[in-house]
Amino acid sequence: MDFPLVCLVFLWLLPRSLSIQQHKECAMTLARLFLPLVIAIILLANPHPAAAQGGHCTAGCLQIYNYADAQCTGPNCSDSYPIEICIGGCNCGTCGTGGYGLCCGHSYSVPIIYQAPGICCANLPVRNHTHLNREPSARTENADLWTNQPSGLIMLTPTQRYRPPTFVYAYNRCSHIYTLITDEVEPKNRGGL
Amino acid sequence: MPGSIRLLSVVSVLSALAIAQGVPKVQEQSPMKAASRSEALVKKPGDGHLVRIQSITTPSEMVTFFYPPLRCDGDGNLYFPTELVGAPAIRKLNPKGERVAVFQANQDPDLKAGVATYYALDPDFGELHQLVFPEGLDRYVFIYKSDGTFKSAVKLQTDFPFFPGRIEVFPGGQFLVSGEEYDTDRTATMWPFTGIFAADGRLLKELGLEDDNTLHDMAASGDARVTRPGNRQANLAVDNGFLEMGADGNAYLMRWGNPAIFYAISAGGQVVRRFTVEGGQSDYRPVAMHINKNRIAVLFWEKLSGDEIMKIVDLEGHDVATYDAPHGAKGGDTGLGASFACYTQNPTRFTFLGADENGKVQILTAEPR
Repeated sequence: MDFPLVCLVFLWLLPRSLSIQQHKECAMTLARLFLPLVIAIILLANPHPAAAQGGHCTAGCLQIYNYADAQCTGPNCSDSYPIEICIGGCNCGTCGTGGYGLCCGHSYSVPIIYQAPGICCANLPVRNHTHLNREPSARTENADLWTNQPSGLIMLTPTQRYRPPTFVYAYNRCSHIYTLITDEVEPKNRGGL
Repeated sequence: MPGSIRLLSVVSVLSALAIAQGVPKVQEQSPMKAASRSEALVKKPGDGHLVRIQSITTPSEMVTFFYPPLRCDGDGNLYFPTELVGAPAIRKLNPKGERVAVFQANQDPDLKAGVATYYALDPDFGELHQLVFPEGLDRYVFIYKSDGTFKSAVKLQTDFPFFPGRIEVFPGGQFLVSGEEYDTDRTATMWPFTGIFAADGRLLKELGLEDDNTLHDMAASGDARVTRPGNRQANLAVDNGFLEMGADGNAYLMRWGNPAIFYAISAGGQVVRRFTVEGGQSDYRPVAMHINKNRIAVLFWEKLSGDEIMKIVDLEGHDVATYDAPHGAKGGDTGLGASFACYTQNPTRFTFLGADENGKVQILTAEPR
């Protein structure tokens, strides 16, 4: 009774020829052998959400790109702010406004990627940069940027989400005061959710 | 009516007429007044200080922010981007402050150019080459004629995704492009990328610059000198750098920092030389760089105080002069701001762009004293 094939034959074709003990042993043997196969089949039938759409990102493949610093000027003021731009890249999601600031009294915004399921750049080669001093990146700032459910979003329907007006106090380094900035945002349809 | 009052009235009327007719408003600074004013501000030793000698308020150009790069051509025309995203545009003003052209990236009906950033000026043909990002991972160089009309689009051909940040055009038509590319972990700090592309967009050669690994490691380890909270993939040494052509036919790539690192790169992709330019005290950072003939001018500033230093070196990095401008970055009657747009020699002039209280663009000219 050590051979699974024999077990299989007796269990399915001649079940009455086995004793209860032999029946149990056969069932255990087959379970041990076929359980991984069954699990694999289940996984294939119910893939990870990211691959639910065939691995394809339907939202958009994006990247926050830090381009340079913009300059601003004003009476007794000089300042700059980082220009970050949402452009095509390898992160699946949609671009939105992630924050605000003031530069000599003029407001500016910075983008954020609201991550969506899907895979980008799957077929593009990854170039292997290596050198002796290379260290893995251990910093975790901006963690909320990459979460699936960005804070502050309200789901109106399964495909419609709404970000309530944002109230932000931005510090003006020139006048040394905080200014309230509000952002009125209408509900927008965003596919793929 | 006394003569002085009559003269004042005439000047006032002429000035008002000039504004009403849209003529650029020119204000000559009294050299005596400007000198005495700036002498009172001088705190640090050097070869002199920058004194504002002329202000031209443009009749209709409005601006809130100045996006790099600000540049000028051999005829004294000034270029400044007004939008980078959505409807990207670069405006061209003549030396009087009058608009003579607009370079708009959305002129090609076949390519939706949502983002357009750095640009280079071709001194031989007066053309402007700009990095353009249509949707997706394609990267283009748009070429415009000197009057702003679209001429052609060249796709930068790499088989890996990358983010071009700076461009310059060699006399032979090749592009030098500096930017970044992904790590194997696509959420990690990016790697510097520098490449020579043919005029048709083929990648001819990729350059490994001496400090690339060090700068990458600084950013990857979170070194505050080259990183910014909130964007762990950025590397300020690369992102905030500048690139311009020298009179010797080499392109000069500047990595941001103090000292600023320069690489002179030939059209064939050889690093001809590397040198550094010190910006005085350690808290100063480069804010702009321009090359005229055989001289490089680097403007350093200390952001909080607004103090500025204009460092002049030759194409081998040897010190030529240092001019300071205490509180020079502060806007106002005597300030220059930090939007350094043009450097010329014989006579030595530094042109800045600023804005008046109404947001109108001002062309501010300074000279060393």
